[in-house]
Amino acid sequence: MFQPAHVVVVACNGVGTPRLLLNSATARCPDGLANSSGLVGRNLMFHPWAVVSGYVDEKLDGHRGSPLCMWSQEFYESDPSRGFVRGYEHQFGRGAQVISEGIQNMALGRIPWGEGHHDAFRHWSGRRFSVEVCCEDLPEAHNRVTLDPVLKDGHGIAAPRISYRISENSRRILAHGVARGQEIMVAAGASDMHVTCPVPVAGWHLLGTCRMGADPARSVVNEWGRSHDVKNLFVVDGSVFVTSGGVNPTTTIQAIALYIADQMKQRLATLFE
Amino acid sequence: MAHAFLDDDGIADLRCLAGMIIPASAKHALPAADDAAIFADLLGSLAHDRAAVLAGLAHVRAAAAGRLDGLDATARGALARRLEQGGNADVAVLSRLVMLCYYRDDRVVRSLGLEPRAPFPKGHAVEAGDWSLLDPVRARAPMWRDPRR
Repeated sequence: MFQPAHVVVVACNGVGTPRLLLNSATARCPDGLANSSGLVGRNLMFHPWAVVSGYVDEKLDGHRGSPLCMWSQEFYESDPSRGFVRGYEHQFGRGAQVISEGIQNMALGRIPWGEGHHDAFRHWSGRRFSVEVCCEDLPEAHNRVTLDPVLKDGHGIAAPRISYRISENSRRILAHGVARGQEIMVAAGASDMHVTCPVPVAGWHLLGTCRMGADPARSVVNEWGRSHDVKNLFVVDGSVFVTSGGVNPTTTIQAIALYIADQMKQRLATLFE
Repeated sequence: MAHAFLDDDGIADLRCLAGMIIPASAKHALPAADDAAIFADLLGSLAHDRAAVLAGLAHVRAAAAGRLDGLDATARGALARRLEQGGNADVAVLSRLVMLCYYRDDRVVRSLGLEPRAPFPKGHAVEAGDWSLLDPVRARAPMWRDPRR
């Protein structure tokens, strides 16, 4: 299917966008569309995540209101004395609604099957709070999205292949955040502390694979979201991030999309120059 | 009882397993998870996890060396311990689904001292925290980069 358009705006995020561009290779662009820099798909970043949880005597009433009740960016900025660059955000949770708490407490081995289930459920529910670490991942060219040589979707289009290794810097960030989280737990009088680091099921925000920048040799889109190579192609998703930031990225992605849309409107007369 | 992808044996095994995971409680005046209404909810909540449900039940049946309803209470208890501690991911999905349906039953929710309703649109009144606890933080120098400075 061919769909002609004056302007193409891609918003498939950190895996879908490079997959689309790499699958759009032609004789003129054998390495993929908008990929003269070779950076489409490279610098994949996530948010390596850690959780420290513990239990306090007080009922936390976590099923009412937002589960994430407070953030701290005390350790967000770079401080050379900490042994890593950039930093992280602490996110504080005071438990979630009843079912989620029960399932998590069961997964932690605190609520048994069978006899004892009901008493244990009542004992452990509503008292768990957590300190979570959202690490600012940094770009590394070897972390990347490529096209899988074998796996294809139902339309015969190559699936993405993801290669990613948590960096030493990100591991140090996580370790620092976990240590501070444990200190907070102790200060709060928490017991039965539990650490998950890295968390296998959180933080996989898809970022960085079509990075933004002024230099066409070091970036895929320019500072207002237009491809350096293809003058009517814009990217408005998490793939344009140059670092991951230490926060959940959706609002930043929305802000970038609004910014690029506004730039397109302001530059309409010279959009393709 | 007809189901989209479970046969009668599968339904019977799942019901037995649900009762093993969460039994009735005389102390708390609570039904077990194999209660008719809760189990009906469970049967209607499996579609999203179809593959895991089928694999989990196959695992349970293999561990039981047959149908669960053929086991006596002692054997069921021993089986429950093995399954609970076995770490099988598909069994964990079954356990999660049982928890999900059990703890949204109105009788169970009330027994926990909660209103059986969604938080929205009525919401909940939450007691205000003590914001003065943040005064020492407010008194600190900024820890962030301020482009205006």
